[in-house]
Amino acid sequence: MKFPETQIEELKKVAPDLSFAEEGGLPYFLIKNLPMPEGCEPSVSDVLLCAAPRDGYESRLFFPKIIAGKAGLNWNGNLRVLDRNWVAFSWRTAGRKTLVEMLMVHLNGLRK
Amino acid sequence: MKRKKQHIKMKIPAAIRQAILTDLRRPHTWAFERVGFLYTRSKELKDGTTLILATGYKPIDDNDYIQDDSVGARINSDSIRKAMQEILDNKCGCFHVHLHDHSGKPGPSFTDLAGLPGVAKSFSNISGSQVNGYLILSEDSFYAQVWHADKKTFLSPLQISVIGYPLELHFDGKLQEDSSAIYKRQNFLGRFSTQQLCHARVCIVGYGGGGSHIGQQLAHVGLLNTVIYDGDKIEDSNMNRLIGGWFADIKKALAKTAIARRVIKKILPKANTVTIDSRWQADPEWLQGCDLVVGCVDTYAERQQLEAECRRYLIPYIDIGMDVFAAEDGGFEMPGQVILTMPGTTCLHCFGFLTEEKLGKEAALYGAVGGNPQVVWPNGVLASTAVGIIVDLITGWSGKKQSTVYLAYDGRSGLIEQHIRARFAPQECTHYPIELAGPVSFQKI
Repeated sequence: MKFPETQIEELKKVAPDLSFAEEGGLPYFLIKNLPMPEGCEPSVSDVLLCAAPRDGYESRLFFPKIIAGKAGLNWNGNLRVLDRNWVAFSWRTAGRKTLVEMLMVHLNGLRK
Repeated sequence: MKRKKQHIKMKIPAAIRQAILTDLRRPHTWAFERVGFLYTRSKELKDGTTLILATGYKPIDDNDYIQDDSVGARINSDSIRKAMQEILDNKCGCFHVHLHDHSGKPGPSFTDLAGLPGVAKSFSNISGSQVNGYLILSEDSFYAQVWHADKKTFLSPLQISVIGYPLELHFDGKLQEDSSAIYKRQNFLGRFSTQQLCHARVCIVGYGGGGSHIGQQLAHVGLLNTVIYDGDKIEDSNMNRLIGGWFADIKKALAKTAIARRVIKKILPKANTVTIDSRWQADPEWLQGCDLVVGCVDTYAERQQLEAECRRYLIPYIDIGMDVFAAEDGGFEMPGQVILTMPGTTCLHCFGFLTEEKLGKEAALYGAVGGNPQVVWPNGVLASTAVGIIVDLITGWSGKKQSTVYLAYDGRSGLIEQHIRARFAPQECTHYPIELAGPVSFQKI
């Protein structure tokens, strides 16, 4: 895992139930029971943060199922990552970002 | 409740088997033989199969052997503690391993039977759902006992596979030679080839222009067990290349998997064909239990996911595909590929076949990559080439020893040759290390 300890600690503050795994040379953070932005359904979800470029995106945030709330998001389904099926919406996190910033930019995509 | 048949499949990468043999053959100052620990991850599939995947081997430290002339090797409690620590740290299982250095199937000695079951049971006290056991290697075979803590019993694996080229599929029981007229013209494949082809299970993902050739040909060679995934129904645009598809099927919107069944069963009535009318991701356990996977899929993203799954479950993956596009001279180019990637060695990323750039460009199209030109004959060439690799992997008839295959097809010239990338790709894969195989184990931070 090649991330500065400060970034990990910062991420743990917003995502205390944090774990890590790699697949295909890419780093993934599994965050359990993460509160979703207001108005989302479900209001709490596991998420998987791919903290490196993947599929043409600077980073990706995967969800176990589509999060209802904001209309018009472009969701891609049935993506198999780390032995589990996920969905993700098309969202860019351009520019150099810390782990928490990446997570927040993705979550902001769910805000109405 | 009907009890499921217990079926244990153990998979050992060829590199790990070689590391075990090399280590166990080293002389020791006072012990007569050596032992080691094989670390594994296991998973129980819903059909009752327990998959055991070997992910690493560690020798016993020289100083952890106890001087005792009454047995071949006696190890101290420190070595057991180290193994238990490894089990705890990596949430894995562990097999005590030693060597009976002769050819043929080994068996346990009285000393083995007196001591080894206790070691396996002690590992089970801390390994949670992961199974443990003991393994005896010979020059060319195995004996294993697996302790099922839930069932409170030792069970023998029905199959132990060495994942290399060729695949070594060791089955419980004796293999018989086949004397039937059906396969006499292919007896050069080996004395036991018919039985090997009866035991192996091959998964075909995508039963379209490529997959339908493969299903048909595997039935002809006598491969009994196939798993076929395709969620589509036949359409008129498939008729130019879907082998076994009938015009009348279009009106009925017959599932492609139903066509697969019809074709295979007519050729090989005893065939055990599992068909799944969906994408493989919706029901992946059938794939996870296979010995080989052939991907006949349209997109890079599908290939990336398929290969990752195959690496995780120590399954060799064969990819076929083709494309047609306008050439500079006004004609058309028709490139294609047949790639075999083997767990632990060069992967599609290492070959440069999958790149972040290609995946990104494809993702930008939001999956709208269907409808590309496809025709029956290059599909047939590529699929036949893949079938040749499958049969060679299972029977080893060619005598070739290679870890990967990357063949490039040129539809204009009709030539298939080794892709230039095959010469320059790294031999070892950094994307999918063997130690990460098996069900995911997230590291708590």
